[in-house]
Amino acid sequence: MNRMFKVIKMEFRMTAANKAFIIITILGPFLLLAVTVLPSLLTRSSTGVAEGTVVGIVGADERLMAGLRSAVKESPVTVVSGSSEQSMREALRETGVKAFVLIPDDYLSAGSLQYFSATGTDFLLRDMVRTFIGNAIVSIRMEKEGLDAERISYLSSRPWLETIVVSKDGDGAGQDEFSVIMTSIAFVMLLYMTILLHGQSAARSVLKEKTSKTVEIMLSSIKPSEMLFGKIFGQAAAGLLQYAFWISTSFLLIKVIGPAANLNLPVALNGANLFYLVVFFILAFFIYSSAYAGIGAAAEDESHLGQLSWPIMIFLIVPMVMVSAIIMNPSAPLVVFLSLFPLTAPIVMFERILIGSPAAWEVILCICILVATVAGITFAAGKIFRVGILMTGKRFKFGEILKWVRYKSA
Amino acid sequence: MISVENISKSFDAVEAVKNVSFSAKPGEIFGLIGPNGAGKSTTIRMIMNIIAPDSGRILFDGRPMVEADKERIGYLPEERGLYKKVKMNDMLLYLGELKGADRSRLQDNIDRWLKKFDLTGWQYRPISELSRGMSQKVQFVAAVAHEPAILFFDEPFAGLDPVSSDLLRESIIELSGKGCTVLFSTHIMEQAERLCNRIFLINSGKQVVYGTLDEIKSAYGSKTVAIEYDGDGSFIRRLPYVAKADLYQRWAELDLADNADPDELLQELARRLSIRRFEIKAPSLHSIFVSLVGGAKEKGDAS
Repeated sequence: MNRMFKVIKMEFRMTAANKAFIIITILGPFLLLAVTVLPSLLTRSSTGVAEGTVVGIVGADERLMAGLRSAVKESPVTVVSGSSEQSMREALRETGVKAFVLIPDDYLSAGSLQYFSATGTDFLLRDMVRTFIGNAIVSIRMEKEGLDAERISYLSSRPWLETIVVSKDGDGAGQDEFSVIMTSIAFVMLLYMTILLHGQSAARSVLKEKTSKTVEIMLSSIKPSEMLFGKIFGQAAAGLLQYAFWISTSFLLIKVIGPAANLNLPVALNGANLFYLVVFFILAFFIYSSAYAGIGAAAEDESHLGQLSWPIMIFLIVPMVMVSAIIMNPSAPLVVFLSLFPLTAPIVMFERILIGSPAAWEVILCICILVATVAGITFAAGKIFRVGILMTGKRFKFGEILKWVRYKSA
Repeated sequence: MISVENISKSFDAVEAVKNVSFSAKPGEIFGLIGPNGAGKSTTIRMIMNIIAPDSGRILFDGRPMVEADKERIGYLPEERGLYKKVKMNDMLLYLGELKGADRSRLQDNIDRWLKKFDLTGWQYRPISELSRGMSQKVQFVAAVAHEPAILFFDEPFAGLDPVSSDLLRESIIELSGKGCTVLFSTHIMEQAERLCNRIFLINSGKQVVYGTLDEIKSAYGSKTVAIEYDGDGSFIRRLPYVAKADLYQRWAELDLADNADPDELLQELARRLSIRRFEIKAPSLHSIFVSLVGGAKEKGDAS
């Protein structure tokens, strides 16, 4: 036990001193912040377009111009009339005009209008301008046909749906689904990345014992199982340190920075979800790092390790590929199955929890299944490790390695 | 005291070690000798408790080895390596502490050994900055720093320059003088001849010869004596100790008869001649090895 603790300490030190580890640890919260808070900052102005944005209109007659002016009255956009395309082009480059639209003489029958922009990526502004011009043109067409535009607009308006998230803690404020999806994806990405990172790190650490030829001197001092679990726990300690840093920055954000800066924080960024993030990280970590460590012991070199780890990685990648499908159908039978199947469960169940779909018994069952899997997989990894760690000179196939689980221990 | 009793080990269809028995006592340098692939490393791994023998047993001071005995063993494996990014001192402390050594005492030993090997300047630098020879020496320090009673050196001189080799040989003799049991494996016979008291020669997993160097030499191959003298040496041919003699004017080469004592021969000669040189030319371990194992085999494996 004492010796294993020393292996844990060494493994932790070697992982935590790694530059990539430090960079990811520090940048992690910024990534989370970027994906979760930035959209909320952008959508604070409700339209995503800055107040006082000037848009030029070239070639519009008085009637269209008047219609446009009244259409933009309630919006952050101001329209100015430009004399020619040339002068507007200059204004676009030199003054505060963000975009302009060229109105042809036959604009009532035109299928498309030309929109000139300084960036070409201001989709929100473009869509807004399109709506205003479109509405103005439609009104003119209706008037020409002798119809009452205001009455038609009233008759054809459809009410908007405001989302209210219902949970045990009471009704949440209307959080738009965009923010929920982005936050869920950010969380799931974080879980996926850290499982992959620490799993592979465990595998490389084991493989390094073989390639650096330290394995024999280590095994002359400690048992293979002490070495395996020392490495896994050391890696786990480094992973948990990373998570501790992230969770504390998140709480700082929720409790201090968020209220102080009056940020509209996503509802998904809360204590319960952070708790589940850690729980599923720990469970997934032990499943994947044990499997990876076993494979690391069987591998001959880095490229062989890459080949061998594919069958395991698939189970990590599938839930990532399916993330949007899972978010949209969190209770579909396949999704429920994947949230209980040991290798995909950590990520899929966590996705479902973020959306708020699983029943309590499903979460408990999932955690029980995962705990049992951890026990089984560490046992198998220990067997593979014992055989593989002293094997050199042959590139074993994945199937051959699985057979080692049945070997009697030395 | 390590006793190996009838151990065997097979890997799949290959019998790596067959029914091997020997023992090594404190204070002696014991040589486990044989060509590459002879079963040396497998035997060592079994003694180290890294792999278990299929049959037979290994006794440690008369009782079966337990996990805790690993702390009393120092091991310099043939396949050498240390963590590249770790500082030398940290690496040595780590390996020593895994052997259960007390930290401050361990640090004293590390300092002392590194000074001896002229490595003090590199003590707090990463292993990756060391030259090959340096890391060989660090590996040796790693094997001895926790003051083990039993030392296992697998090909300790491989890759060392002559000065470092001498330093290492000196250190091994010193450790043995302090009462350590030194087990030493090599495929280079000259090294074994210069260091070992007793030898176990292994080939294809089986014992070839086992005994003290003298026993082996007298059992395999006759002794030759070369002498230089002043006086009439013609009587030498008729002495009972001599089986065959090549006589020259002031110089002779004699094959000794079976059971002839070279000391008695020297006394006899000294009474009748003025002896200027008297040299017993025992057959080299190398030639014994070659004659027992077969020249082709050794040549092929040693490359």
